Amino acid sequence: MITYEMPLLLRLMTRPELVSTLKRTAGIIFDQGGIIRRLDSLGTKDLPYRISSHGAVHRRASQFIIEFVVPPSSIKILKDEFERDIDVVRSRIYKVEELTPVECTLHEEILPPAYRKDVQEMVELAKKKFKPKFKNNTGLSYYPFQK
Amino acid sequence: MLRQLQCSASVRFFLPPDIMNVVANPVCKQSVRWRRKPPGTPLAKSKLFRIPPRPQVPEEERIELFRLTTNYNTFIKSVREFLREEVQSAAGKEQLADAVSMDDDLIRCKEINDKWNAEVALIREKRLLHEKEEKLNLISKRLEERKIRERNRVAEINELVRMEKEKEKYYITSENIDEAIENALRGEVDYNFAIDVKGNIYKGEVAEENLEKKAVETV
Repeated sequence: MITYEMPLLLRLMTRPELVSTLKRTAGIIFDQGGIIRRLDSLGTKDLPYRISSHGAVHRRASQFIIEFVVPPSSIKILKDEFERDIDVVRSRIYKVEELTPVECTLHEEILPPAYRKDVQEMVELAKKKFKPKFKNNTGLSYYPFQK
Repeated sequence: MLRQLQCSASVRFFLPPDIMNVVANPVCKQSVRWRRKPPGTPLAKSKLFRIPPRPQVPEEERIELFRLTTNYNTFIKSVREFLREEVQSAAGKEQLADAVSMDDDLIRCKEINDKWNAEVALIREKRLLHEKEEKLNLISKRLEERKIRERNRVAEINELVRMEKEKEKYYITSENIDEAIENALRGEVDYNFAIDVKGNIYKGEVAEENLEKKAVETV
């Protein structure tokens, strides 16, 4: 069972219209033998850029996220349906990937560069690249003769 | 090919002795590479229908030449025949002696070879037994691993089914879609949050004043 996630932008509508559009959208998913796991509203917000769809330019949209499960073969049908729905400004379907647990390494990352392990490794690597330098063996920190 | 410039003896008398030397005087060099017609030239038109005259050999000379040639051939033939007989008789004796010694040698070689074969056969048997045992071990090990893999897979699937069954009560279907839509529209969600160095999480998209008080969670 693959879970899909769909951000859905709907044009500005009255509440009953919005409800009916959402119901229609959900109905299309149910018709394909799917179920919805999560239905979240992000509110009506300004879009980051103008979006023109179905002959109108949109600057604001009601934003939703729907997480659902359908057979993979139905994805094409769903995309087609939502594209042709005139109330939908934009919709995309992504696969939800399970989050793998991440170990926190912040305390190592915020150390000064010289103490960081990866930096130390890089320094070691760079040292290997240096060519051997000629030693004067004069016991002085400077070159005593005129260059 | 190079040749020295040719000149009469009288002229040469008046010239210094070195002047006719090719090495000393390269001016005297003459290339004589193409002295004749090149090899590809066709037969000359004037020589096209010329029939060369047959060599005229006098009758007496012909008879004498025939006698000499025949004589020579006979001598050579007899010498050759004699030598052949000599060589064949000598070789026959040698061959016979060789054959006897070769049979002995062959028998000896065969004995050594059989001995080696027996030794190698022992080693091979041991090796094959070992290999068979190893192979059997490998097969049984793989079968065992496969069983474990299958068992783990079934367990994983069962776990997945169990979890899905648990989640079943939260499914949104055509029966409770109205309620879900109402809930969604009522409570808007904001996924944005910020985090500071101390590990405090501040939820919401827009930064607000008195952030310290607003910290919701700590990592």
